[in-house]
Parts: sequence; C-alpha cells; structure tokens
Amino acid sequence: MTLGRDVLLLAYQTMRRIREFEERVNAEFVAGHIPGFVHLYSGEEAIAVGVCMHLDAADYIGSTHRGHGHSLAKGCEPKRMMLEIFGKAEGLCGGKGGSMHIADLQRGMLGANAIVGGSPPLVVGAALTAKTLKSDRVAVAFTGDGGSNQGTMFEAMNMAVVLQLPAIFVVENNGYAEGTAVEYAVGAENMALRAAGFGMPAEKVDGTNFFAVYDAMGGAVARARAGGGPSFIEAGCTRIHGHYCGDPQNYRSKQELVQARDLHDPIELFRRKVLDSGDLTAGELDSIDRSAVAEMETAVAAAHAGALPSLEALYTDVYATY
Amino acid sequence: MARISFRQALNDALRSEMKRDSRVVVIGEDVAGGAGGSGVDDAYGGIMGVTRGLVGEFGRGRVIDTPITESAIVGMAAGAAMTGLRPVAELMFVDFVGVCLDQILNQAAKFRYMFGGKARTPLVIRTMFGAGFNAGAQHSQCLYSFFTHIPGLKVVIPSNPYDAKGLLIQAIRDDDPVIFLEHTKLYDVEAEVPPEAYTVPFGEAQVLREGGDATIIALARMTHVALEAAVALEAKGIQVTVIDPRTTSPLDEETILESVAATGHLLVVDESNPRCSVASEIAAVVAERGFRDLKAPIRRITAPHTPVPFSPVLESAYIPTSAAIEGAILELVGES
Amino acid sequence: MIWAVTMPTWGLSMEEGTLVAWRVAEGCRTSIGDELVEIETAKIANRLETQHDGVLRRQVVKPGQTALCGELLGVIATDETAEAAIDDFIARYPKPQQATTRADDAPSSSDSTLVVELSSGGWLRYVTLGRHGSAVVLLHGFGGDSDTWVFNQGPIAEHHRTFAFDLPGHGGSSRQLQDGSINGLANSIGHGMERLGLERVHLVGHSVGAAIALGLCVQHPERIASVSLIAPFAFGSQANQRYVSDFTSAHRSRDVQRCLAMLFVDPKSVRRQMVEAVARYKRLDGVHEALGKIAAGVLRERAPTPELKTPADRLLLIRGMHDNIVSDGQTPVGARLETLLHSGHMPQMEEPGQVNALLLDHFADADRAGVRV
Repeated sequence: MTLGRDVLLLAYQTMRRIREFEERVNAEFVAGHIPGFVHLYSGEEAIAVGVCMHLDAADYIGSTHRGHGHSLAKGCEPKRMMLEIFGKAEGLCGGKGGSMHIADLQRGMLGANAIVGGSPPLVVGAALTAKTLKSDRVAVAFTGDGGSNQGTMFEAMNMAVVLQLPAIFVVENNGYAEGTAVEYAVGAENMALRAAGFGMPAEKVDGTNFFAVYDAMGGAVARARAGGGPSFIEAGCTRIHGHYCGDPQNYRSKQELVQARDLHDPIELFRRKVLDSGDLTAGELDSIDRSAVAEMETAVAAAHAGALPSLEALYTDVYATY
Repeated sequence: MARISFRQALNDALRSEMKRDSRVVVIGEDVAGGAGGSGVDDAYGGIMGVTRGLVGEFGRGRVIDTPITESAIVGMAAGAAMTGLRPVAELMFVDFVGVCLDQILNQAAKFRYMFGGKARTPLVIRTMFGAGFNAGAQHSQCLYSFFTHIPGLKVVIPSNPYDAKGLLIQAIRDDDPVIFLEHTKLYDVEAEVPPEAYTVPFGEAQVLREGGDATIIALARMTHVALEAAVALEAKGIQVTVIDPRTTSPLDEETILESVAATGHLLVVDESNPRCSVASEIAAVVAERGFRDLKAPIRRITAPHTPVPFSPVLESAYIPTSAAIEGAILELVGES
Repeated sequence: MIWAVTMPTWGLSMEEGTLVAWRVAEGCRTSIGDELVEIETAKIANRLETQHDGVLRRQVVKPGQTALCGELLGVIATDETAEAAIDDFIARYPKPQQATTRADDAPSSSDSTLVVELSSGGWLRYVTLGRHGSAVVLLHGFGGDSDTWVFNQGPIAEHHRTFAFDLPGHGGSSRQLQDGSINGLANSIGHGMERLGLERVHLVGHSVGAAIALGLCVQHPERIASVSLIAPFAFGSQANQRYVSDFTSAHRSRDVQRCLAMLFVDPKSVRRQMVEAVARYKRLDGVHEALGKIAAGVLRERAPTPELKTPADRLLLIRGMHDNIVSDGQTPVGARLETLLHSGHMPQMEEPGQVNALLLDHFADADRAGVRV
C-alpha cells in the first residue's frame, strides 16, 4: 500500500514523540522525580500510531496502565501529560490521576486504566453511545496480552458482537504479562484465533510494522463505521523496558533484551523502510528527531516548574453534586 | 390520587424519564425478555415486571436485553454514561455484585475524581435486595453498606411507592453514579402516588412518625416493621419517632441528630449483617456528634453474622422482627 | 342543656387529632368565644373556641390522647344539669367509625373535590362544601392551595355554598401556565366560575388571591356581591422579595420549613406534615416554572390599584398585625379594614374564629343589601 508523504511524516513524528516522551519519563523516574509507578511504551509505538491515525478527536479509545503512547497518539498534549505524571496541579487530571489514570475526554481518551481488563467494557459502552446517538464514531479498546485473559475482555467482546457495536479490540502482544510469557498464559494458539471464535473478524499482524497495523486498522474502522460490528486485531511487538520502570526483567534473557532494541525497534524499522524507498529523506527524519527532543524537554521543564495541587483538591470532584 | 404499587411507581418513573430524555436507556438481563426467541417480545419486562411495557413503547434500541454478563453490563453502562448516554442498568440481584464490582468500585465511582473533575458519569444501577422469600444465601443479601462505603457512589433505598418514583426520577436526573436498591418484598406495597413526574431529594430523611420517647432509624422494609412496632408500643404508652433515611449516601445526619436530641434514645434497625453495616455507621455518627444527648447506649437490631438460611423457620429467625424492636425499645426506655 | 365538644374536622384528609391541653378547667364556667381546648394534628395546631355559654362539666379526653374526628372530647352544660345526666350523655354519645383500611378504589378526599376543565386545555381543581345560601369563592395565595381554608370553609359552608379553587399551577390544578399575570390568573378563575354557573359570588382572596379577586372585580363586576381580602397583596402592597425567591427555589424540606415559618406569628404552628405536603408540591415537575412565572409577572412590582366599580363598603380587608410577607397597601376610602393582633400573614389560619365571623357578617350585609357591585 502506498501512503502519501504527509501520512508517513505524521506517523514518524508521532512515533518519535512517543519514544522521546517515554525515554524522558524513564530518566526522570530513575532520578527520583516521579512518584508511584510508570509503565513505558517504548518499542510498541507502531501500534498506537497505526491505530490512532485512523481516528478523529471524536472517536474513543480506552487504554491500559501502559497508556502514555495511546494518549499521545490520540492527541493529548505532552506538557499536560508530563505535569500529570509528576502529580502537578496543571496536569491533565489536576494531579488526581497520575500515570495510570491519564485521561482526556475531550479528545476521546477515556482513560488509562490501572485495572487490567478494565477498559474493554467501558469502550463497548462508548460504542453503544455511538450507535444509540448515531454519531458515526468508533471506539477502540487497547489491551495487553495479559489483559486479554481477563473475563471482562471476553464479556466485552461477546457483548459487542451480540449488540453489533462499533468497537475494535486491539491486543498489544508484547510477549509478557508482567513476568509471565504469553506462550504460557494464553492457552489458544493465538489470541486472534480465540477472538474469531467469539464471532468477530480477527487478524494477527506484526505490531513492529507500522504499515501492517495501519492497514489492518483501516479495515476494522471501515467495518465499524459502516455498521458492520466489532473487529479484533492482535499486534505482536516487543517492549524495550520492563513491565514497570525499575523492573530488573530477570524473566528475559540478556540476549532477548539486546535484540529488542536492535532488531525489533518499530521506529528504526520504519526509518529504514522509508529511507530505502526514498519516500522521506534522512534530513527530514533527523529534523523530526530534534523537534521531538526539544518538545519533550519543554514538557519536562514545565513539569518540574509546575505547582503542586492545593490541599483543597483532596476533597473536590468526588461528586458532581452532593 | 391513584394508589399504585411500588413496582408500578418505578415503571412510571422509567417511562416518564425515557419520554423526557432520549438519552435514557435501560440495560439488563430480561429487561424486556424474549430476545431472539420464538415467543413474545417483552416476555418478562424485568424479572419482577418493573420494566414491563417499555420495549413496546421505546423499542429495543433503548430497552436492551443482554447476555448474562454483569461485568459487561455494568462496564458498558459506565462507558456509555461517560460518553453521553444516561443508562439505567439492572443488576438483577445485588448478590451478583461480586462479578461486576470492579466496574462499580474502580471505574464508575472514580472517573470524576481520577480525571480531575472532567468526567461525568450519570449512571443508575437498579438492583433487587433483601430476604424473606426463601431464596437462599446467594439471592437474599442487602450489601448496601458496601456501596455506602465507596466515595463517588450515591446509594438510594426507597421504602414506599411515593419515594420509589421520586427517588428514581431524581437518580436518573443526577449526574453521579447511583446505586438504587429495591427490596424484593416491597414491590406489591401500594400507596397514593401523583401521576405526574416529581423528585425526592437525596440526603433528606423522612420522619414517618413522631414520638418523644425514642428514635428508631430504619431502612426499606424495616421501616414497615418499625412502624408496626411503634403501634404496639403506643398501646403500652410509649411514643417513638420512626425515621427513614431514604439515602445512605448522602446520609441526612442532621435529622437523625435532631431527633436523638429530642428523645435521648436511639435504635437502628437494619436487615443486613451487623459488622461494618449502615447501622454501625449511623451509631458511630450519633456517638460522635450526639453523645451528650444520649440517655442510654445506642442499640442496633440487625440480622446475625451468618449467611441467609434457606429453611423458612430459620430465615424468619434471621430477619429482624417487630417484637424484637419492641423489646429493644422497652429496654432502652427502662421499662422491661 | 347539654352540649358536646367534639374533635373537629379540619380539611378533608384529617381523620384524627390529638388533644394537647384544656384551656378551661373542669367545673369552670366558659363563654362563647373563649379558648376552650388546644388540638393538634400532624399538619397543624389550633385552638377550639367555646360555642355555648355554660360550665365545662367533663373533660372526657385527656391531654396527650388522640381522638377521631367527631369523637366526644368534653361536655358543657348549664349549672343545674345533674351528674347522672352528664354520665348518660357521655355513655350514649355515638363513637365515629374508624376508617382503618380504605378500599382500593375509595378516593382519599371526599367527593367534594372536583375538577372543572378550561377551554385552554388546562383544568382547575376545587373543593366545594355547603348546599344552601349564596355562593362564596375562596382564592388562596402564592404557593398555597385550597387547604389554606381548612379552618374556614367548614364554618362558612354552614351558611353558604362554598367553592375553594386551586389556582393555576397550584394544588391539583394543571401546571401549565400560559399567563402568569393577575389578569391571566383572574381569567382562568373567571372561566372556571362560568363553567360552574356561578353568577353572583362573594369573593374571598388571600395574599395573591386578593389581587386575583380584584382582577375579577374589574373583569366581571356584575358577578361580584362582595369582596373580602385577607392579608392582601393589593393597592400598592409590596411583597417580601426574599420570601418569594426563597420559596420559589426551595427544594429541600428544611428550606420549605424556613419559608413557611415566616408566614405565621408562631412558627411552631407549622407542623411536619404541612411542610411535607408543601415540599411534595414544590418538587412536582412544572411547579418551579409556574411559580417563577407568577413571581415575575405579579410579585416583583407593587400590587396594582385597579379602578373598581365596587362600592367601597363592599370591600373588607383583614390584615395580621405581624405580617412579614406583604406590606400595607392604600386601603380605599370607605372600605372596612380589620387588623388582627395575633396574626402574621395567615390570619385565616391563625385567628380563624375572628376571620370567619367577619366574613360571615360581611356576606350577610351584602346579601341583605342585595347589591351587585
């Protein structure tokens, strides 16, 4: 499939921004500036970007605890995200949510979810809204290979099929659920095969290949918007960092960790491809690299400088009215 | 004004709100009934008939039968609420909350807070509760103390048809997640109910009866049992006040404290198990804020710390009785 | 001579009352108009007045006890009546039937509560009592209903046919209010009166009802035999704006109670069930809008002073000394003004004996004169 230059530029730029964001978060966390836990998306960028480039601001996504990549791909501002991760008052959620609960409802980002498997039923709800209000929107649930075993995932998939809702289930199979390999935890041959048994079209793609993801998602979105019901995409990838920042990753061999960086980096693979084909130049890509660095530097500086929430914020927004 | 049943009052509330606002949808198992089958549509209208007739009037786009799939029912309703619908989801028996507790506890209840005030979750979960029809341990619990405990939820427990209609209309118009609990034994109770729509505010207890000797707080079916006891006590010369909180979150502490200030004696009647119950919460509030008005220790009458037994003779012993309330009041005011 | 003192029936839904206290001791003399006994119901508290000169020979029901409407509370007799005769009177006095369980299809109020349809599509609920005598139309005030006349309609009905309307947007009348102005409201009432074939009436209006009564005088002078205005919003009165906005927006029972307490000299006369009844009315869909329309249309400005064809002596004004809700207006020269010393904004409830006597006299004067206004 041939994609135009603007699409390619946007894809590279978004993936690079995600990578730079995550690497800065990693550095800041290791330096002790970020409270709680963070779960980094580096290595999985092609999936978030390949999926979200088919979505408008009005479409919905639900995410996981590993949600920074989805948020950026859906259009959330890195500065507001960084402020939130630092627990500052100007963060996307006023500092009340943190990394695992980042949300931006105005951009259709229904929230990172700290409960594994928490998003799929909510996303099916968003799809119900879309169908009921005839808004032509679609809703995408990102889940990991670990989350794909949750009962909520299965219930949500069945519900989406039974009610024929415009929901798309994207499972990011990065090979590990915390410290347990997918070969152990998923009994079926693969997750796409399992999903097909639920009665929806299901596809398995190489999640390190932006083009493959983009292609598969195009079909799923067209189907959903046309009223054809839900789809399932299993995208295989590798995560470069641990499950959480600070994870010693003893469950992965040293060789595997090296190969993750050297052989399966989706941004490198994309770069090589577009340079080989001559669609984009090295100069353009390097320029994007530099912009991403500068943008995330600004975000981090803002996060450091940002004010803490006032103590009153502890009590606000439990209810709309009480 | 016509006398209608608790069940009919709920049906009226749903119908009038669904007419008024096209974003209100009803979701649950057999809320219509007959989906995909060879018999009639609206075969059930809800297992207790509360939603009967709605699918005929509003269609299956707004009255949505589901598979038996509570986490998807409640999760879907929560996601729909967050994105612009006003769903009324049904959890058939409150005992089933175990299979969808995450969607209530960690999702719906917390969106607004976690997302810094940007989310609005106008979700109603209607659910049946209570013992007294030999349904056994897994279909007879109360469990409203669980929900009362969770910040971000509102908990509504009507005791009569007038309140049932007004509180359900209020719940549907409310922008926060509401757990709306219906006692199984109240569906056939009748009372005068206005034909037009009206609301009953949350956080406002109702004084059902006034008397200066003691204050009884009771919920749902227990309000009726307490009123029975009040009549028996009056014949013995003891006048009691009976207060129905109507909502346990928010809880109208002021009305309770004012009454205790007037009577000096407090008895809380709660059909649920005792530990960490709403009865305990009310007792704690009064002990903390109304201590100096008390002339005697606070008493609670609850079920025992056991599951609900099946055999009718055992179940009758499980549920608090009018005689037990009478006895407790007589002891409290010192005339055993 | 022996006379029974019985539990009164105040309003249509009262079934029983509690005797709070006797104001006259057993064996003591009492005269007509004396305060005899204090009664309270869940809704309201009030005093019964002595109806016959004599001695209170027996207090049958004691303080704190409850009795059904119509039940014997005590006995008044002349000096020479024997004890045995009193005992006999008490023993034979019929005890009323208790309405324990109502049949499902029995209406909660008696068949005297009816509805008249208006051509606009709405309707007016009205309570009618009394079969003989000239017609009296009673119009309540802002946010009230025909229960305002709970201590008045019965006594007046002994001499007149009475019709207490629920104003548009109030009570059991339809909520939709086309026109919240005095003229609009008077129009609706006039229409209702026409439907009922009422050709010559004594008008009684309380507060805003008084303004409406005057509006009717302007619209249909030929139908009006006399006008009685109680705590009137009329002739340049100003309404307490704080009360109007607080009452209009009140949603919680506590807020309703605070507002109602402002109406009476003794705030404790507002009982729980009255608060509950008003709160339930306030929470009906459409009431807030209806009251808002009337507040905007009628109560923001001073009450109008219409050009009346009414002779001034056909006008009776009754005000409570301690009225916090409407200020004095300019009483028309020649009209009769009575100020009751122990009343606030609700003299018809606070001093009903006095008000009823004044009204009945006023109606009788007009009937005797046979004058049309």
